[in-house]
Amino acid sequence: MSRGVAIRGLGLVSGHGLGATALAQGLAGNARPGTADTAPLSGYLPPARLRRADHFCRLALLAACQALAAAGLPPGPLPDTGLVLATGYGPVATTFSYLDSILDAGPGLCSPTAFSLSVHNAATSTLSILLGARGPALTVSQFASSTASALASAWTWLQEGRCGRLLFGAVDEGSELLEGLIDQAAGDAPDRGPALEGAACLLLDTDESDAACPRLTRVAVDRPEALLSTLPAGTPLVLGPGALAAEGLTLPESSPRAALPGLGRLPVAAGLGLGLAVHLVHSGRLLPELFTPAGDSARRLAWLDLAPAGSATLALIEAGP
Amino acid sequence: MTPSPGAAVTGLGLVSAAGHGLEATFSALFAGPPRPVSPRFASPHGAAYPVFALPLQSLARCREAAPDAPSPTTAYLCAAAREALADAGLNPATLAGVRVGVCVGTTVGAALNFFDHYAALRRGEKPSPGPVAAYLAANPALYLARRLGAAGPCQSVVNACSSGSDAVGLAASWITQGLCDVALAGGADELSPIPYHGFIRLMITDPGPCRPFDRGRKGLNLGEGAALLVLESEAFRAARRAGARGFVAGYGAAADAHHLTAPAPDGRGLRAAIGQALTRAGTSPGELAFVNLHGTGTPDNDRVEGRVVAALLPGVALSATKGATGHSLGAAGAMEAALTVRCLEAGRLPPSPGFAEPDPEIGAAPVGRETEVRGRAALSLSLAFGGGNAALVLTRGER
Repeated sequence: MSRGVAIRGLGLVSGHGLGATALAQGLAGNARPGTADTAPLSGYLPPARLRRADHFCRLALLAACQALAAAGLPPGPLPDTGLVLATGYGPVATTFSYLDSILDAGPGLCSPTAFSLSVHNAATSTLSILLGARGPALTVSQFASSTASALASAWTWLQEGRCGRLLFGAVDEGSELLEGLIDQAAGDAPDRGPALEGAACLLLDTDESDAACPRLTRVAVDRPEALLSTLPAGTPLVLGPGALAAEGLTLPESSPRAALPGLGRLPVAAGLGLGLAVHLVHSGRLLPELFTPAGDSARRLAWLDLAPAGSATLALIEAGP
Repeated sequence: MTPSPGAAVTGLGLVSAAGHGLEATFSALFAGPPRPVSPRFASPHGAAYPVFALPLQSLARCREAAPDAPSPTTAYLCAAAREALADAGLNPATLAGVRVGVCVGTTVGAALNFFDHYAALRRGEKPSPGPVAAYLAANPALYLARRLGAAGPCQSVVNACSSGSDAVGLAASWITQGLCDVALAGGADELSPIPYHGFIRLMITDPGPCRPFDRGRKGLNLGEGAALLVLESEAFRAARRAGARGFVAGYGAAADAHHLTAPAPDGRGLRAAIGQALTRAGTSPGELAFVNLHGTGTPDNDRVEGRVVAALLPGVALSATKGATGHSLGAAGAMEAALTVRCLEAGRLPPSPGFAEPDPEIGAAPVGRETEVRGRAALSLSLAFGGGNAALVLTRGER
């Protein structure tokens, strides 16, 4: 029997602004996203401690600090806190900066600092160090399916009681260079939507004492048809990018669904969509402009995404009683 | 806490510079491991900073295992998978309809690794997008899951140098939590100039052959390869009457929260990871036959790791194998988990290549000669860039 997981706090930062409301409004209004602003981070952590953190790490940090603040917690120390972070591409700008240093200065004089910040777990490590999080830490990187995959491991760790609480997040930064290269490699593939950068973070625990906050009541991985067959009738669905792109996926007719193409082409779209789903359950109201057919109550909502090999991840999010 | 029964290890596959296949690598550890060589790519350092590269014959066998593999990392992974599945008595046909998970640790294998393509772009050229397409097709876990048609959880773990151990531990959790019935878990990585130059610039690479735990150690040698463990639930294994080579009995992970590139001097994360792994396995330090050390050969890593092991596990035999395989980054923890199971089966440890003189600052040293060991359990440790630490308790099976 699985333990329910309480969602204590949500942090969202994106090219539409800070917070879930800004993201929802940006999506509903088809606004053109910009660069995500991480300046509010200085309200949580002293600038001197942030001097080595690049934009990628700052995005993840800001979402994590927001999630902690929403739960009434300061930004550390968090000795019994685990970290699970999903990133499709890792720290792109710093990686190209490191490659530049090899090409400009020669391999014998390339930048060791850029190298150490170019690794895929740079943001997770930065969060661990700056927030004093000393639980287990995991970074997952597999393009658009990173969030769905990482969520299954976060759920597993919480079920096993590996840490008292866990920060689960997703982050990707925009890069015109990388996106241009991917477009070129993709050839005549259809438009992949806007490059909406950002980060999402959920503060999770298995404490049953406070029933008011939304809960993850189930996370499962299986064939999509097997997962959907167990979904309570009429449960609204938020679709991740893999589910959005899947051909032949049959969804329950009674379920309002949000496809959210406005979340765009970056892998973090999955994490932003999951964060938005949590926000909707927390507010108790579906946004009619995002769902087809329009629904109203959001006391229970499912988030579904598909991995390229055909498996699906389903997260059931329910409001507190 | 009730100890978990653990996930059964029913198959092992390993490709390293020391040998193509688990038995070849295991034998080489005893018979005389290879010496590191100059990298295949251009280096401004001449013969200095050697690496443990797969021999040409092994590279050809990896390509034969997966002719369409989009990267060396995925080819190594497929060669290890083929060996591990055959060892387990499984194949894609017998796995049809089974919930199969894939969990692979990597670093280079998931990185933006199209360096030459980027260099050409910077020169104003218009190179073919092939390398970018290959990057998009070469994510290790996704590639292997697609190839096998695996419908369970699929994960590329990018926890730097502990990725392989973490992947094994995570997949074992998936099995015991019922997320899948079978999992292929391990790690894969190829040698690449990108981390090669970075590690040299961080001054943690030995200009000669590495010497883990030796008083005169100067750093690591990079390596490459892949290792996979086939893990099974007890129900699935019982249904097909498969014997177990071992069990992943316990996994612990904890962060130092200290520094991006240096371990915490007090080894707090490693201590916590070891404690968790032993507790979850229901194993006491006295029951350990040996510890497979991370043992990179860097002054900081070996000092911190050795002091922690000396304090927590006094008298337990220690083994360090990176002097034979190099540090294969995302594959390292998985390679060492596979070798740990094999050493438990054999009841003996190989000499620790490169180690000759104990470091009095550490207070612990790996075995310098072939050593008999007794006991059903062993510990395999990994420390990572960013302060991650992972510990696996592996126990001997009945096969």
